[in-house]
Amino acid sequence: MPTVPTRPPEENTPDEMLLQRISQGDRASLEVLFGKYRDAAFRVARRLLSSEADAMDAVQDGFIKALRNLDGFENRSSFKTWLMRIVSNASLDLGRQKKRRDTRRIRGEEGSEILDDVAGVSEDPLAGLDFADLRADLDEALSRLPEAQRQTFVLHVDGEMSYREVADTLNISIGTVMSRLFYARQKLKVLLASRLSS
Amino acid sequence: MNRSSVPLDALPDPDSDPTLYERLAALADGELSPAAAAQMSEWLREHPESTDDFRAQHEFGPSSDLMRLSRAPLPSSVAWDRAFAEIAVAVLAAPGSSVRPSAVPTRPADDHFRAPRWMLLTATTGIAACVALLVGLGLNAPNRLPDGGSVDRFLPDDERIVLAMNDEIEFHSLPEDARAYLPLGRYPISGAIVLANASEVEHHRSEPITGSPPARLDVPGEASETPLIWIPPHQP
Repeated sequence: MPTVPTRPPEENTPDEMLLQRISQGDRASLEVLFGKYRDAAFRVARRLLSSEADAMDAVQDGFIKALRNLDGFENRSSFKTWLMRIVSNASLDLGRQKKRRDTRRIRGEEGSEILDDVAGVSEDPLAGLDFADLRADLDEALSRLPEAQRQTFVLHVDGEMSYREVADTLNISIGTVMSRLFYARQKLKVLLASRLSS
Repeated sequence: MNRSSVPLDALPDPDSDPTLYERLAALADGELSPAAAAQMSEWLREHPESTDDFRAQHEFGPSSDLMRLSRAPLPSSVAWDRAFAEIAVAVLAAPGSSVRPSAVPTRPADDHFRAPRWMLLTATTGIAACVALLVGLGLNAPNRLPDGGSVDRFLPDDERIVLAMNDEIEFHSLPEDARAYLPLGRYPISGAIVLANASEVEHHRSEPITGSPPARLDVPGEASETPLIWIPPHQP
């Protein structure tokens, strides 16, 4: 019978302690850990995917995988970077699968190769408002970046991760993070030039 | 300077620094050490022609209004509660268990294509029964591959998941409709299982194995659907 600690966890309880308690079946610790990282994980997934439902799936699946495979984590980095690696990779995978499915569907229905704008479909209830337009433009521009640049950019900007954390998450050097970010932004600047000038 | 080891607290001469613009980005993100930031700021003052580049780096940074306002709203508390409940069920169901079943993404309520629970249970039971039968009949004599090799050389011990031993399965009853889902007595897969297509695989490097001939890697075109990682069909 596992022993569950009686003292309730707090937001500032170290992740290592939360993980230990979770492994003993402590639901309250899981709730604290989930609350700490769910927003950042969702923002990353949402920016890499085009629908809120898919982003929620990626976050949910990411937490489950991260917690079930802690032996792959082995405290080599923080739980946050371990989680974000899983969530961002899962989001990219899901995005690729969805794009392929949508492309096939459009090919089948139209008999032509309409490949553009598939990833830009949004289920956002705010569609039509200015911010939603801005988001759609930015998402469209981001979808044109190489995947590695896009993932690095989104982890830093939407995941609010430091260069060090992004480097740990993607297992790359800080120099590579800097380089990817610089070139990603230069491309975004060009792609969104008309939007920014207005 | 080696691009892969740019320290955030280094003070290279900006005019001969090949990572100058990357450091400009780091300045915009507030990632440089105070001394390095002061040095880059000074350089920027002396080179106003680079102000636009710096501004672009800042504009697409985590603290910019552009990025903040373009973020999608966060899910409702109801949606978070539902997601947490699913995670708790998956993670806390069997604390301390050594079995690590694969995590399947779930979408609650509105998924019309979800199979009835009994089908899932039946399929799981069927797979376990199949394993037990194969073990019992000696048809899978120790993990043989079509080429006569053994899967042991591919799967380390900690990556194999034993669902059940042959003496741990006992059928009490089986619904008539479920029998079709039990591939008893024969291998359940007739064709190859494609784990990834060429477009889903990124090749970073190959390392030769001592004593082996050099490997050859034929990578089809980027958009190809050609199977690249696959399992050969079973040949008894």
